[in-house]
Amino acid sequence: MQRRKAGITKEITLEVNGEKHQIEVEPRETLLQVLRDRLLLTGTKEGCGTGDCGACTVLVDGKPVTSCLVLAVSAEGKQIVTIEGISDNERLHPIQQSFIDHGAIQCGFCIPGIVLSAKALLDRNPKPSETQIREAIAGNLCRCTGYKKIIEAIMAVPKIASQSGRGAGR
Amino acid sequence: MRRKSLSTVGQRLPRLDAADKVAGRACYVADLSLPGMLHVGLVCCPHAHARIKRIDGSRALKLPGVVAMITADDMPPADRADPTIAADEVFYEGKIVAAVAARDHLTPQDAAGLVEVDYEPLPAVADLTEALQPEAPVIHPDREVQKDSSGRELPGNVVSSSRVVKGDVKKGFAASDFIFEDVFRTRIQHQGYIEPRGAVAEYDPMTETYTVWTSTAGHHCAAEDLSALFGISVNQVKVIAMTGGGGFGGKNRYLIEPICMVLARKTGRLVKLVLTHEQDSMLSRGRSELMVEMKTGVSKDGTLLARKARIFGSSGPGGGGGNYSMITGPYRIDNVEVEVFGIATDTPPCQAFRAPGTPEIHFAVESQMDIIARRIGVDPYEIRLKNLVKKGDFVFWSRTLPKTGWRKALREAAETSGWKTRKKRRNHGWGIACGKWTCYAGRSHATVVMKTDGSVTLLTGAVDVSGSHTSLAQIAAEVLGIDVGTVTVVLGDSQSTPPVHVSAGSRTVYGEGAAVKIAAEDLKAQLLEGAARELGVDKSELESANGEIRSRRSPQKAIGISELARNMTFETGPLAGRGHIGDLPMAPGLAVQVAEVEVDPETGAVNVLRVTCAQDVGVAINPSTVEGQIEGAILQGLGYGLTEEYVYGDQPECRLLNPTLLDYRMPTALDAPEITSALVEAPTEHGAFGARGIGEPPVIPTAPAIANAIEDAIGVRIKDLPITPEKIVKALREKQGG
Repeated sequence: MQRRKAGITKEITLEVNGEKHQIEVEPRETLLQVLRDRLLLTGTKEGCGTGDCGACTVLVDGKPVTSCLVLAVSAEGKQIVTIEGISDNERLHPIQQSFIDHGAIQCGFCIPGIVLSAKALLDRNPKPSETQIREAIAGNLCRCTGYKKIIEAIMAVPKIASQSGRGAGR
Repeated sequence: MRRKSLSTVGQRLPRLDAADKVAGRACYVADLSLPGMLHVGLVCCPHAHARIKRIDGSRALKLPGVVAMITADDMPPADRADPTIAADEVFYEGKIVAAVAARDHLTPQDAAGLVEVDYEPLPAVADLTEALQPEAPVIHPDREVQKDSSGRELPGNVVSSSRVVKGDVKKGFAASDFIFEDVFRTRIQHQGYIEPRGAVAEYDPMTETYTVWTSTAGHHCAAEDLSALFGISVNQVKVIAMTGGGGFGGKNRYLIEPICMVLARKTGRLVKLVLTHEQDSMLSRGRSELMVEMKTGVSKDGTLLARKARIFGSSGPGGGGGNYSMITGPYRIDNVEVEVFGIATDTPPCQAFRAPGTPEIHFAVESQMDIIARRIGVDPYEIRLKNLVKKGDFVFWSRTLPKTGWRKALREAAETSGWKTRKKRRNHGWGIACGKWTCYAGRSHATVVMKTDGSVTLLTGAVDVSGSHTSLAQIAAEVLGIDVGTVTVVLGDSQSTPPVHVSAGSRTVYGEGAAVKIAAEDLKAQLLEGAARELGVDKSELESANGEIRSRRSPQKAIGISELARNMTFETGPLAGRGHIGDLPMAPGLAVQVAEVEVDPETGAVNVLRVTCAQDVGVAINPSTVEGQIEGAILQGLGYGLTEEYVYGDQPECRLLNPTLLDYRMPTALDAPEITSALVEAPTEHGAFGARGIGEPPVIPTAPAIANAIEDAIGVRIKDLPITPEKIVKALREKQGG
């Protein structure tokens, strides 16, 4: 059992969705805890807390990571993108729009993480194969959808992105 | 076939909540953050069976930030019957023995670690068949001794027994040309919702009322159950259902809410508790564990004549498990005898899980159906078609089948999958299986309110667990002849709507949908009456379409619904339609699945290539949602068939070895087969526009369809779920005599 030494905190600067936040954190706090409990960015979900379900996936320097396994102090100086950061206030990202259009959303708890895994894939490979999509989201568990409509939604993103005049990766 | 005149029903509309969810804006219970809120840490028992000797929280309470600790002594007296916090004896690992509340989100886990608990570990037994051994530790020594039908005393962990008989089994077997006897095993499966359970509670000492925010499939049932537990009025517990992150039955009942309520009262603060996945999977589970001994008599032509079964089931320390009314599957068998034995084990108790008790029994029924077909040389599809119940036959023991599209669904599954022209490669096989489900309606209610501009609020007390709110909006829009975009669905809390049943058992679109239709028709009748007055025509000649009400005889006589709504609201008062039903006759569903698999005989790995599902859906209010239910169910069934089980260590400790999602393997996107859904539309008599419940049936046949395909591929029959590579390799070795 982890024991806390009261009062030991560290001030760090986290860059989240392009905005810099100066915050006091305990060294043991995960990036997920800081995002949710200190910055109130609750779009990032906690499923298992052990890096197995992918619900807490965020982008760190463009790569998808399970934020429950990252200590917040180690994320200093990196660019963090959460689900809140990929849409403009009223305009969804093409990946998000595609998920809606394809009926890929059920309970929705895994969806922010899957959208970010998909974004990381499409940013480096704008026209992935179905297998590449399956591999890219293999770390994100979804219990509702059977993945079919999610995979279809991601497959369709390049088309939606070109129609809306926005790059899939933005 | 769907009536051509329908405009909104049958459309593939996006879920109403899809945009909020994909943007990360939907508020799940863990996302709630309220001023002054305390956070809870749990002290959980590390033994599968133990007596609690002493709990000392003094060190924890001294930790800065800790506000309070509670144990079973702080719980309401009624909690003793089915304890939220264990009082003196613990019957499964992970059981809550104390809870600590602290001011921030980091302190509770430290505080929980400082609570000292002395346990007297007792011998435990987790496995169903081990619990039946004469030398097994007896979990409830003071239970009533159970006997079987022949009067023989049963082993110590059998805590209940019952027997049901229909027809004359002896005669049925005597008339049979073949007798088949098999034993099937199924294991514990978790619902696998990704959002762990959580709750926030507040207590107002002035009005003596609780407010509970939680992830639940039914805030009304939660309020009823929690008020009974605390011995207060239902109106003293207001339950607010947050957006739910999956439940599949697991969140039908309360679990940890009383802890937040007791702490809220004790501290005068808001209290939040969110479980870890590990805690969640240890506190409750989905499927019961079964052993089914099944003997079936068959005539030469494949007609089922008699069945005798013994179901040994465990749903945790209380025994239970096994739904005898499923023992015939969707087939007609006139002579049946079933004995059901409930076995106590030191495993977490069951909460409902999608078609409770049913995939377990269907694994036995549908596996043996294939064994029979192979042995007597009848095609597995044909033998099912031959024995499938017809209208008027008994189907759920004593209930008869109404008019359905079951036969059509079975034919459609064969058709769509290409069953009759199927080709086999080496180590590649096909399997077919069926799954039946009752589908009831339950107490349902809806209010449809029209605002002054003609927009509509649909007020429902039924939690949306499956996209049902979107379907309900489609039903209302269809009746009223308005654009579905003008309909807003409001769930309300447990105090703002009449108390409807929990969203479970595939009932919501069937039951609540019927209530919504009645409510919308009520509102429409009022509108037509108002329009008749406004237009000076008889209401019988009026129709509502495209947002206006017009005369069929002289179409220039028309009034926009928004204008009419404004006029009527100020002349005769606000417009509202109301619909309610106590219950409806059941509208049973059938899903038929064909699985195609490839097996690697070296490693035992099974690759499910394709699953085709044909299902009698009544009428698909929203086909996209219906397909989504089918696709998700197939993956749950695939996990049940191949990978998912609770694995326990040896006696006498019986520790759970795989409480995390790393070791408890749920299917990923790489495991997902190609899925084809064929929606067979055989309208029901009572559902709105012919709708039928659709969520449960498709989870039932997947595991046996895969088991049947595996035998087709490699010639071995595995009767014990999940069908792991180890079991396949072992069976292949035994077959080769090695």
